[in-house]
Amino acid sequence: MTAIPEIPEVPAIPAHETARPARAARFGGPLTLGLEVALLLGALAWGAWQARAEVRARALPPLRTEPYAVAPLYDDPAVVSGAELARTIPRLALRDAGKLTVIGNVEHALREWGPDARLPEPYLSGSDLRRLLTDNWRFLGTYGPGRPSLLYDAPLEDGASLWGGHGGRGVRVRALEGVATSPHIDHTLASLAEAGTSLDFPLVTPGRRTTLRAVLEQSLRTFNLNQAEYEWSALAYALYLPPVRSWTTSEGQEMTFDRLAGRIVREELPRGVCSGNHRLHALVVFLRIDDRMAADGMPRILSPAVRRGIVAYLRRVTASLVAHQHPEGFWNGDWPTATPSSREATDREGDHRSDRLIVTGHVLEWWSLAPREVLPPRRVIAAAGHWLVRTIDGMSADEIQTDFSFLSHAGRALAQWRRRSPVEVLQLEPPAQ
Amino acid sequence: MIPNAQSRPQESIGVKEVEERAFLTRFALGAAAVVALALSVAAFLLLCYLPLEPAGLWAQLSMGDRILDHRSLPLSDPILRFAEGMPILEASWLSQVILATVERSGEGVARGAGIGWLGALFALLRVATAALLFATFRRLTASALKSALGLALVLALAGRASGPWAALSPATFGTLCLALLLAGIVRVEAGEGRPVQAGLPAAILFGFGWVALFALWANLHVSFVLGLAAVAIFTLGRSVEVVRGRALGEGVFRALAADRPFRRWFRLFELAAAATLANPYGVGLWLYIWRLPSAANLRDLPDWRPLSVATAGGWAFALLIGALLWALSTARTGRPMLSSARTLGLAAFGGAVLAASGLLALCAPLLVGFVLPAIVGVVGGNGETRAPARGVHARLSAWARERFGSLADPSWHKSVLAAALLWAAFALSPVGAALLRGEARPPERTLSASVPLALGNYLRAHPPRGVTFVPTSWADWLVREGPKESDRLQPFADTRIERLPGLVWQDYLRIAGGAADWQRVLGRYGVRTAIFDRAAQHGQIQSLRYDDEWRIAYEDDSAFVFERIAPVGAKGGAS
Repeated sequence: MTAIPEIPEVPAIPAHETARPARAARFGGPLTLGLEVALLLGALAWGAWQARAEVRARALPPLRTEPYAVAPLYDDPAVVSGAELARTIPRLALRDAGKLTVIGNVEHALREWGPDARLPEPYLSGSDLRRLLTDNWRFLGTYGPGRPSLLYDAPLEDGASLWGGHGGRGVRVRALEGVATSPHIDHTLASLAEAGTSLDFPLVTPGRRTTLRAVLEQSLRTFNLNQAEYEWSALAYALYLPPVRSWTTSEGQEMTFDRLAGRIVREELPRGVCSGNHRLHALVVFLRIDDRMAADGMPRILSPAVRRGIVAYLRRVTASLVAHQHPEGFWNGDWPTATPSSREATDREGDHRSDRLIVTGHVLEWWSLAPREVLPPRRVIAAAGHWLVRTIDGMSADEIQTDFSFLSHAGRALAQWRRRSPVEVLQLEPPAQ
Repeated sequence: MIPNAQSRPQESIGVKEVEERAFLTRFALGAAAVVALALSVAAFLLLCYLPLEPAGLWAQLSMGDRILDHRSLPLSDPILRFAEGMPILEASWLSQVILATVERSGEGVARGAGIGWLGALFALLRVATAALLFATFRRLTASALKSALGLALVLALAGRASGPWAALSPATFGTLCLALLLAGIVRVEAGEGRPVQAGLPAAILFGFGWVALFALWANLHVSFVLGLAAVAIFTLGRSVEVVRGRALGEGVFRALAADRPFRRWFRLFELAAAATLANPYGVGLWLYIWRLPSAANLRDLPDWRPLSVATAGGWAFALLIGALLWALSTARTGRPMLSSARTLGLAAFGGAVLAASGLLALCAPLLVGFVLPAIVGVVGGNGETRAPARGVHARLSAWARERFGSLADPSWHKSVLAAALLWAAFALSPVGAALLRGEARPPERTLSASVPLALGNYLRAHPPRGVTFVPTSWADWLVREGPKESDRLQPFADTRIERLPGLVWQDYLRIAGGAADWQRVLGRYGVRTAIFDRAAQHGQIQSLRYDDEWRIAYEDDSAFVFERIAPVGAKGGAS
């Protein structure tokens, strides 16, 4: 028998040895190859077009230039009388503290008073509050050149490039880095939205002039459903997006108000800033905007099941608040599980006077906007209103400035329970100097 | 034994007898075939009974179940709650369907046999891939010994614990496709000098096979892009040679158009590229794969980190390159030892492997296929340079041929023996055990020890509510084999981490790694049940063991299950 023959590696065939005969070349000459190459290039172009189409599908939807306003629904003198309001509200304005001015307080003051409030010295007026947040020159005027700016330009994470690059420049708001930065993610944006600021409002960053739209677009792109702070993002989106119901983040995740609502109710209470009350506030705004859409004949932003879920959730929350209200009318940080144990505030975490102010003021604020179906008995609201008035009455002007951010919610809540804004109350009684 | 046709004069045999013998001879096997088959059967049976590694397999089965049940591809991830709204693309849907079908078939024959059937499938795929690679290397080297060395080199390069050779996954199908492609490439290379009309029917058949391979591959696993890249590289390599070898004054385009091998490679590339579009997502699959390497989550996996010599694969790769360099430096032949295509392929795939070590397991057959001819050309000499054999091996071979040569002749006895071997392979495999005897081995023997069987039993009896934190390596199994229907486990994450938003994956790592704020992160996700690995997450277990808000619901040798018994007490900050 014979051994298996060794098969040597087939050498590369020189080009001239493999050239086609002339007749065969007619069917496979340069023309055919050119057509094949053209076909291949066409396929590549088609692929690139598909990629662009995919990117276009992820483009941000049209945004509302003017934000929706969520007006208070109730006028109940049992919660706060006209005299109490006139006495209390004017004290709840923000003093200009120069370089020590806290940006968080500025944002709270803006949402409390609005941009049209004219307040006497040393209080910051509404227009000045808004300029401090939107104009880097005004910011420099207060804080000097040594501070990092509140607004800064950043690549717009729009996922617009096939290669994952950046498609332009956006604007970010510096947050969680101290006094001259915003205290929460998207808190500046939400405050400006609640103050009725147009997306065309001019914005001056250290590098350029743009509009508030750049901040919102950047926020929409970079938003992550699981980020630690999401309450103000959700609030701002509810005020600027509808009737649009969804958009796509730079990660490609489709975001909807249903999903946002699911995220908000996911965590147990009282987790979240201000003992979870900003989550509840955002849910109430969702319900109100959803109602507004229906009233305007536009598609709702919430699915029926999610809307029912939100209402049921808020009812449970209200039931818990009713069950755990102190006879004096306040709550503390343990509100989902326990009634405050003493009339006087203690040093225990969650039971300081400021904690009681935080929870009671915030609860009264979102109840003032909430549909009647999630409200507690009237006496519960009235007791809370009376406690707030008494407590504010007992605070000195300096104490009010120290706890300003919490008290701004209380002031807004009290005014809203008379279906007014603080600036409308101010027209009756200007703040004492 | 069939008499040797040359042992009697042809004239003494009738025409009918000659025809009968020719027919019978077609089905007579030689000793080499029988030995190869015996080795394959032995390897198959051995591999059949090795415990299955869980790495990602059960997630693929779950997706396969979903596709089979709904007869459609999912538009959103049905398992990962935190991946809601994320774009998904089931690039390996066909593999998932095959895996789920095999498992269901096994379960349909005998309860508990599904895992054994998957083991048999895995063994079959590995043996088939190895046999294909061996045959291809033999065609390249003309030596069984060198082919075996080449195969060993592939296994050394690709032998990662979670690679396609060690764990059943869609990548295992991808490896088989790569082996088929390599065989096709070698065949095309071998046919470069033949006239066009010489084997037209065979060429058409080859074309159909080529298209079918890429069309199937594109639906089986994303590694089809490696195959496509290999064909592109051979096309480019041929064009380089054409350009370098063209006549003086001849235009490049005209030279390329006139070169038959180039045109053949180019058309094969076009066919392959077009075939890969035959998938449910069309060009979307290409775009998905194009973006896949930039997925931030994947960078946390060892497979997506640069190749390091700290791994066995890294050493094997260094050895391969070292051997190649040595071969190139000692070459005595006048022509290049590596063609342009092989040089380009080595550079491209070697570079890819250096950038992402996980590609080594997939690229290993190609890399070895590229360099093997050059290495063995030096070690054993190629057809041109080999000196007459004088060594011990040559003398032994000659002696064996003289003494036992007749045993190697094709015969019916050997064909019968081969059939018996095939029957034994079937009958002794888990498939045969289930079909013939209704037997199924218990999961303790068919699964790797890392599969949390007892934990799965507990969770079936006590389904957790809401999202459960569980190590990803366990999540896949528990989702499929844990609580059923509406009680099905909702894991925080599973092995398909590319599906998750980046922040979710980072938070998973914080919890799994015991970062300072890991309990706060658990609360942020509303997790009420947390499962920790006793061996790897001792710190987390100790923290929750003494935490008033949690209680131990279950523990065994490998796992702890904690349940939250109170609302999260952490206070939020002030606005």
